[in-house]
Amino acid sequence: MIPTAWFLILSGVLFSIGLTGVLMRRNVLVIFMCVELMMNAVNITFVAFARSFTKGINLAGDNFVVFVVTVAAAEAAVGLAIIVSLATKQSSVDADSIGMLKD
Amino acid sequence: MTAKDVESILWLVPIIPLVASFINAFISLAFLASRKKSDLTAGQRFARGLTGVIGITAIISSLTISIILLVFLQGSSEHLVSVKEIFIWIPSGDDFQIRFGLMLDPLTSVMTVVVTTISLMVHIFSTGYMKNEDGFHRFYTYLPFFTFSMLLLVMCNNFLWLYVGWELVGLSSYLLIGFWFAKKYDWGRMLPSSANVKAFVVNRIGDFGFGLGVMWLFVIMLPHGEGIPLFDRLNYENVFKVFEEGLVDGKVVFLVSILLFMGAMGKSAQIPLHVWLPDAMAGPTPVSALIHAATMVTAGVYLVGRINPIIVRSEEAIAVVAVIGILTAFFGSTVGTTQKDIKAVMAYSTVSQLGYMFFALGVYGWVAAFFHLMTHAFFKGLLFLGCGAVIHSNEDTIKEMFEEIHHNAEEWAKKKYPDDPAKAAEYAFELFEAAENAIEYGVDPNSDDRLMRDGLDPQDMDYMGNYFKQMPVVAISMTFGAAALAGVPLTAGFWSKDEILGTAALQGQWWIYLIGLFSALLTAFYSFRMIFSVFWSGSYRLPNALTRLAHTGMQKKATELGIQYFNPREIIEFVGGNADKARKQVKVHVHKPGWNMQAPLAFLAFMSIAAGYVGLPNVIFGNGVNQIEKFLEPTFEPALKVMENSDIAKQPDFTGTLILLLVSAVVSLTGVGIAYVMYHKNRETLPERAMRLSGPLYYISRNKWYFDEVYDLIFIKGGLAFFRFLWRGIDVFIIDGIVNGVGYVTRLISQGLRKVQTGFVTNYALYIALGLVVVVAIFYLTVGVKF
Repeated sequence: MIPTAWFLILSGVLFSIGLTGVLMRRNVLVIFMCVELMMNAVNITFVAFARSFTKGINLAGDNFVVFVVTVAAAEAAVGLAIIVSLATKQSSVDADSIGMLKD
Repeated sequence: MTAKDVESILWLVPIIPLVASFINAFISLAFLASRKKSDLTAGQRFARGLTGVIGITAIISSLTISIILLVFLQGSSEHLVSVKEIFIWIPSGDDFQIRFGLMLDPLTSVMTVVVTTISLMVHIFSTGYMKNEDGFHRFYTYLPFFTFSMLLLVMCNNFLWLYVGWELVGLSSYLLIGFWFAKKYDWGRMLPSSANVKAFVVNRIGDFGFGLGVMWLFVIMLPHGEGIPLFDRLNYENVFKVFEEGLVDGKVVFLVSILLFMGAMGKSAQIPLHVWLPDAMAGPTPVSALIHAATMVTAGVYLVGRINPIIVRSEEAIAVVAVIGILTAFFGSTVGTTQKDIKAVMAYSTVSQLGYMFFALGVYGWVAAFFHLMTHAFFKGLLFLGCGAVIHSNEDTIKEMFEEIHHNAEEWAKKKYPDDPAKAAEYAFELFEAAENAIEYGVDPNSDDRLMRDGLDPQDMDYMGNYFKQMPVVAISMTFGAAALAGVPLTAGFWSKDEILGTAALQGQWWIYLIGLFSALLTAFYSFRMIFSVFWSGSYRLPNALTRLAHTGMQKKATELGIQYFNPREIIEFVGGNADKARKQVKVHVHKPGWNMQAPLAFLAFMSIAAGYVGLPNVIFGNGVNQIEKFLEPTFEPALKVMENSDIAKQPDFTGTLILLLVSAVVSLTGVGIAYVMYHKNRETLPERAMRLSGPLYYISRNKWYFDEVYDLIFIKGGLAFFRFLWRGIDVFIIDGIVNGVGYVTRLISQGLRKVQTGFVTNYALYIALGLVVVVAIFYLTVGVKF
């Protein structure tokens, strides 16, 4: 059986890539995709821990993943809508040019 | 008449004056509000006079009932009639009910009769004294109200109601001292509008102690009131029973007595709280007679007499009363000796006589104190009313002179400038004003001449003299009153003061006796100094002084205006240069008081002699002569019982009492004699020389021992400095510093923090990531991770 640590390392690597993307990239669309990446890294930990800690049938971890995927889908809808309206309003999706939160 | 009948009419005594006061208040507000006397219609004049009639009628009714009650008590074997419940004040719940009750015992009975008698005399006298006042009806609203308050104070049967009465007389006193609240100038004396505040504030210091005393009594009574409603435990009989059974610790008895005595010190103007009384003379003189001489100021004596079952249990408290009393008696008599203001002499005399009453209480002379209280009420009421008559006539003379000058100045100016009426009128007005100012404020503030410097004060004895010719009834009555005050043999004051001094000697308190005797000498001296210099010696000096002042003032003004050929004599025909000629030829005359002012004086003069004969010493004239002692004894029985069980009670012997009587007589006659030599025979020379001889003593006495100055330094200036420190040091610096500091620091921090809010999503994401790193790091460092 593959040790749980491997899954966790994979998840950590994916999470770090996602985080780095969120922090470094300027394109909002890319940032958005990186967020999705981070979320899926978390999903991997859920599944991994569910596999290693449960004896018999306990789908708590797996259920969480389903929820996260659902929320991510909803978020994707809202997020993309925001990005579209940004693009039409500012004709740019560069994160550095969006400072409206300050006002 | 039975006790039942007494119970049914008892409440009428205080209520009738209250009702009269309300009716008068209604008449004043409905028909006479803020009208000048000259603007009134005939109907309003009638209503105005009616207020006086209503006041007098009410007091007569009260007096009649009081006398009936007194007669009943004297003939009855009962010594206490108590009505427990007339109405309930603040009825809420089963326990929180304050019952209003009245009682009648010998002490109360004597007090009600004295209060209503003096009050009646003052009511009658004031119809003459106040007849030209715009506030006549207001005066007759306050006076019955005061009488009600005082009667409530002496008749209630409960410490709580005693406090209510105590404050109500304070309020009446405040209203009446400030009766002339609009006065702007009073020849250097304190103005009514300040004097009443001073009286109120100084009394508050005493009342603070009094209030604490009543509260403490309440606390003491809490465990002892099985089955008695909460506030009924403060009834005199309940409280006294607890003290008589010896259930209270000695120290507590002392402290409670002293706290209650503090109230007495305030109301009765004892050192160091006496400072308000002399300034209270700013009120109308009848008010001074009623409130600040005969009745209200004796409330303190009444209080100490009333709590005799308590205070007799603490020798220390009694000693405090004695020391304060003798100090005040001595202080008052020394100050009275040198005052020039006729009312100031009387005021300090009152302070001093109240001191006598207190040291009488302090040497266990319970009856002696109240005997003196009664006689003092009569003769001091008389003296004040007499002073009122004198001042009234002086003020009228001054007013008449103003009118004369005004009229003549106009005539003169018209003659001088026949073709320029405007200019003439202007000059006439200027000259008139100059004369008026000269009389009120003086001419030259740097002058050595007191008259030129300070103006003419109608209360200054230096400008009075020989009023006997003008007002013989006043002069003779006043002489009787002063004789009683001085303790001239056979007058009322002689018997009562001698009983006080005799008690002090009997108790072996020789220091108190000697100081009291010396004060009696001074008392005799200053009272006859006043009588001689006002009524009997010299000449009628007022017109001369008035003329001199008006002359100088107008002359000065004329020079300023550049008026030529100005002769003030033409204007002041009021007195033709010298007073003797003036009296014959011109309109000036002393205003004779009418019958309504003279009758009360005559009655009080009679009482100043007669009142003494209810209290002749038993030892000399046979047992049972001393009516007042026999009558008052039941009230002081608890105290007398305590005294019998200790070594305090002593019986006077015949020779001792006789010697003391003779000493008193000699001392008072000596005082009168000195006054006669100084102020009747050699008025121009001797007082001046005595003043120079006594050196600093004169100035200490003249300036009232510098009490006001010291108080001003300590309490006013010192208080201001202290509170300025609290303001600038504590409040502004420390408190505000902390509050503002917190705000300042917060702003500094937030100014740094707001830079973090850039509005760029990436930055926020970075903070979140950094936060995550920090959280993980903390987690790792504290909990640790185990794989």
